Amino acid sequence: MKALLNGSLAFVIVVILSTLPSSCSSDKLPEPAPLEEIVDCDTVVATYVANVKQIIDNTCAYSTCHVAGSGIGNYSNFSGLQNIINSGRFESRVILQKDDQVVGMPPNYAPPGRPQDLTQEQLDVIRCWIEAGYPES
Amino acid sequence: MNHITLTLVVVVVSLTGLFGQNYAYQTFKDRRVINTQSVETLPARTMDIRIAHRFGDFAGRNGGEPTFFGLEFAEDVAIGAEYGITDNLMVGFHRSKGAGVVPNGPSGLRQLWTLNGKYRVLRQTDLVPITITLSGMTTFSSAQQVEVQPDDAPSIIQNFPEFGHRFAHNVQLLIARKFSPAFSLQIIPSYTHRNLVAFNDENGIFSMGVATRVQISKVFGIVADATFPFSDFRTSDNNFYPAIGIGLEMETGGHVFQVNFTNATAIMETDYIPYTTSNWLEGQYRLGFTISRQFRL
Repeated sequence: MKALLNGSLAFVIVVILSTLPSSCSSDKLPEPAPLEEIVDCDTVVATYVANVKQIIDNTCAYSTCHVAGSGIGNYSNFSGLQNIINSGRFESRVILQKDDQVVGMPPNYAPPGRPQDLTQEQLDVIRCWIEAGYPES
Repeated sequence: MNHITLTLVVVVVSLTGLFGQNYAYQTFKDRRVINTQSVETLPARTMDIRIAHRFGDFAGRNGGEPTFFGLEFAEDVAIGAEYGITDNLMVGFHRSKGAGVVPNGPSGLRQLWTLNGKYRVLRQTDLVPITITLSGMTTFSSAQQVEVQPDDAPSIIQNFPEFGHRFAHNVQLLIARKFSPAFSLQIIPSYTHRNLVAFNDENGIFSMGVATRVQISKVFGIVADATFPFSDFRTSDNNFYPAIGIGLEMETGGHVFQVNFTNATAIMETDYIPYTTSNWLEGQYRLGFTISRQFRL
């Protein structure tokens, strides 16, 4: 019994020690860069009324997701977006962290028929809307 | 004469025996308080099956009736087993979802496999005032790597430029005293290391925890704990908050059942110490529970 105990103890110590050297580093990610400017924002009309609302309604503010009563924000109108715009969460989660599997929006668990990623064209509109300071119209 | 010597020896031996073995039992009833570890280890050859659950925000922006007070969401779920090798040494293995996220930044590790161990160095007796336990933990993320173009450098953790970036570690010194049969107090100096962090984040974090337990009846106890990271970055201005929990613990034989409220979304040390970004004052606390069942092997 004692030999078994010593054996299992040694095994545990070896396992723990062997994971440590191979797994210790102190690295930082690069600062998130804004999306590459593929289109010139001077040529893109980007206001909430003109085209952003349509993108948001189709990719965020649909039934079971970010609509009234969902408990996770109602993004189906301009005033409902103010909180996430002002806190920077909109830009962070839709643009800067869009590839993050957890916080990137739209999410990887979007229901069938709803996009899990925005198209390049939609991203351009959103980016230009952000650069213009989120105009309503 | 011989008789007296023998009597003396018997008295001395029984006295030392008394002092040596009059341990303070059950400083805490469980190996965890709420979020924090406790000084307790499992008895030798005992297995503990554990399930812990943290729901969504109870109140505030994402809570209330629309989400049935957070019960529609599972912020973190951990299932695991721990085993007592000796009365003072235990190891454990857990799988949890992972819940860490930097405010307006990348999420932390997900799909967590955690190996932990605890060794009780010193045990409170009539002569020794405190119990000291060492605790260590290594967490590995099995999340799928997010592929990127060679010239693209996304600021997301799941890019895992190196295999080692899937790991995070935590070591702790647990120091506790059972002041009376009904009151125990513990402090937890701790160091957490994450191998890959966001550009403005820090890899190593020192923190201090406090934990307490008050027995209120034969079966029920109130537990509370709090963990404070020492950091210029982890401030409320940057939307980081101390992880604070309060819970009701019920012990019946080999079961420990706990219902708690905490602002921490994550369950593992490598997750809730760096990533508690929800605020009690904004209703961002959640219902949680822990079930522990011990089996004698």
